[in-house]
Amino acid sequence: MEKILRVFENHQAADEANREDNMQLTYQQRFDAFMLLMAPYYAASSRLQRVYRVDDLHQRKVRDDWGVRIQSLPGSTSDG
Amino acid sequence: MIGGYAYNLYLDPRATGDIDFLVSADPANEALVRRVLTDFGFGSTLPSENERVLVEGRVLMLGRSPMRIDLLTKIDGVSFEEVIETCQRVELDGLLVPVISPALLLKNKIAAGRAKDIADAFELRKLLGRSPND
Repeated sequence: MEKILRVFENHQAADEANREDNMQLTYQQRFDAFMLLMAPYYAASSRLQRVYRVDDLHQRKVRDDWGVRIQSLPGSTSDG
Repeated sequence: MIGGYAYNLYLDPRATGDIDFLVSADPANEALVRRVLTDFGFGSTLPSENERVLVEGRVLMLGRSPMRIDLLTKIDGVSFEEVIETCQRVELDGLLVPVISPALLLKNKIAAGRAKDIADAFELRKLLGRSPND
């Protein structure tokens, strides 16, 4: 947490500062803030993702969700 | 505790960029708040001892959104005394936290009247079983 303290004389001034803060954020900073807020949800789903990866290895294929090119993994004895 | 975090204790969670606390602007509270802020690592950001931090109406913002803490000395529509007298003491992470009651949170949201407050008030009315005109 950034160690800054700002003091405003009323709510309107505080709201205005909040708006200015938000307007200065880059897309990356907005994305990072969103990811921080969503982190507990993503952490809860990580176990499912690990199981899903095991299933990929069993098939001995690199995932190719965008249809670019299916490749065999190194050491794979089968292409099927 | 007031604001979005209090709302999230009573209703379906919604995003918020800060946690809000209502603190008394009573001069007797000045030393306590200074000590809390110093213990929390904000000692170097405080004004000198002869300058008051807690003045009624002021908002103290610690850090930046989405990890921001706001200390408010006054909120719309309800007094500090009302909030304390009717608050619910909720155990959070082993700490007993006084949380503004849903009824006073609704009163505060109606008085504040910003777009997000109106949306919160709509849900709080449903929670409290009140009609849209209450």
